[in-house]
Amino acid sequence: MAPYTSTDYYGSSSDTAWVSWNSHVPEGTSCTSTWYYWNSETCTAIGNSYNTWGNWCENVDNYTVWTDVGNLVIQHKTKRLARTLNFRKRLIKRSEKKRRKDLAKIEIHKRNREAAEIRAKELLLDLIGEDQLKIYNETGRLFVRGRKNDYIVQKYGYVKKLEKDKVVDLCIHLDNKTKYPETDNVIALKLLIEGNEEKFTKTAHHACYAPAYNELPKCACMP
Amino acid sequence: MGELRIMGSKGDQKVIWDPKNKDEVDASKITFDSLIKKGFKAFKVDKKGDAGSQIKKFDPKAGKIILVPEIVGG
Repeated sequence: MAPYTSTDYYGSSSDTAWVSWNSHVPEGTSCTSTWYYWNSETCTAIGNSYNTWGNWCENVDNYTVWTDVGNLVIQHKTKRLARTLNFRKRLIKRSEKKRRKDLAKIEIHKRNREAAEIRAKELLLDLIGEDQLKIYNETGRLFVRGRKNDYIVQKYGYVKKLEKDKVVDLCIHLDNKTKYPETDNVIALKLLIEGNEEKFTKTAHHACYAPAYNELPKCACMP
Repeated sequence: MGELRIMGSKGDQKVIWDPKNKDEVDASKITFDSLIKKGFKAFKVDKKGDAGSQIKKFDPKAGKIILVPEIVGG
């Protein structure tokens, strides 16, 4: 017997499906094992009712119908499975839409941060001049002279306090610093060192010590 | 002309005043005072490259004042 491959069942009324089934399966609906299988799966169907087929299509994920010969005849998507698949499709579509929205938000945030960083560098340019800004852009470091000590303020990482025989790493930054452009953080620390070094050293946490530099790393400095 | 540069998440914001114009000076002072109340620190920068000095009161004759949000130890 040839496998039954019609897809008419999905979405069709139960009686149409039933007629279609009969025309394709030589054993017909009277086939014992077929009914046995249907009934055992749906648990409620009565063999000679059109509703059996309807129940079947409605309530099982994949149906497999066996004839007396014992061959696999049909394997179809049912309404329930179709509903599940549609639900999954909608879910994927929705999450894809959300993902695209999130990516757009990230892109806007990135562009805003870049614009803010450019503004911060313009402010630094006013303070240190063009030549030093070039060095800052290259190294991300600014040499700042305090009343007691000298410091290297870095765009990323600790502030280096330069003492006679050692370098002290200081952890100090703008409150909520990720909100601000990195260069604004550098400017703020430079101003505090120059304007109120005592407050600066009191506020900073001393992270760790290292031997003094043999040679000072390249940094931008006040002209 | 005086200039306030206020640091913020979108980069600094500029407020300019003419020391001879009382209304502009008053408006700038109000902005200055409200930010100091919020915890901002003010630094006067006179000329290009000069070391900044911290101020606590608005100075209309200051060339440039940079207002910095609160600084904390990490």
